Amino acid sequence: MYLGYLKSLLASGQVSQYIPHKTGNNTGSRDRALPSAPLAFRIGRGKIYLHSSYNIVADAYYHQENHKFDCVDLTLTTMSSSLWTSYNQKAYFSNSGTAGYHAGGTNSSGSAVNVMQKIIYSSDSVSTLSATMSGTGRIMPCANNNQTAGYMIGSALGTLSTAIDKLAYSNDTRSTLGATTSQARYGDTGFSNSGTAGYRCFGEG
Amino acid sequence: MPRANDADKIAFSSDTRSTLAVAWANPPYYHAGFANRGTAGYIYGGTGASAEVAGRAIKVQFSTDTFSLLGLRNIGTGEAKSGCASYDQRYALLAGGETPGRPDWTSTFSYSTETESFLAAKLQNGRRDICSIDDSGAY
Repeated sequence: MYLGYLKSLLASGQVSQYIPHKTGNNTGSRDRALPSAPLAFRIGRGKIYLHSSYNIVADAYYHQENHKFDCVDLTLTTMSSSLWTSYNQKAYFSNSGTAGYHAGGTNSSGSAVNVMQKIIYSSDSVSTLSATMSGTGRIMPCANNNQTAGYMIGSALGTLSTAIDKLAYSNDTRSTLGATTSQARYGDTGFSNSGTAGYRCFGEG
Repeated sequence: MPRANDADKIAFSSDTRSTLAVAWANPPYYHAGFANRGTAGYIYGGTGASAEVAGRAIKVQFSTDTFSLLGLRNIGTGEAKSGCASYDQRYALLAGGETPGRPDWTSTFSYSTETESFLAAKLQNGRRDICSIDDSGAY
């Protein structure tokens, strides 16, 4: 009965594969061999783009490294080391299914920038938007209202900002909200209840 | 700079901001955040938190906008700006950070069990300040 149910899911396309998946431990990799390992159904879709311009081992800024994580088989592949412009400590958000965005950061002189770049997921091609942030900044919290807009919340370098910028996904234009953050912070973070609200939490300042 | 325990919420329907109450005087900073849409947001890692909060993940329940502490995280304290992104609406991917040991690791956080499992996949080098964007389809 169990295998029949699994086959029906596979046939319907709701599930592309299943893999044994260890959870709740700190022991390392998944184990595909042990039949007693808990099974977790994996919906076969998705990838995650990882980027950093700071190499801790080399203690070198602007040493770019890019990976693509496959959400189906849980593997990483290495992408070009010149995919993005090598600004450090950028903010990021995603219009999942279409494109991802990087915003701000610092250049090799240590100055914050207001640049926004976009990767088209279907082609892995990166371009620089003509729109810019309203100010320069790095490590801003971001939020995403999927299919609609991304939000860049405050900024940090020198003078902290309470501005909230909004990038419309339909035409990649930036506007600045009338609302501001309650405080100007550094080292805060953001996340989204997409479709409903974005959150900015904690920090220094 | 002084530590901050404030949190803001931006309603997408009106692009207005409200402020949320946080119980702890010294939550972490330089932390990472991710969310399970419709259910909860999570704050992971960071540094500078008080003993009560350090080493634990923080959960924001979206239905009530309340903050709570989860159990001790599997990974160590002090990691800065790990990359994190949700996928499949079941998991988040966590990657890298600063400490401990300049990690090159990746792990998954399960929304159903709120626990973390390390993956075999490793970054090329230990990295912090990781941008992490997901392409898991429209949702």
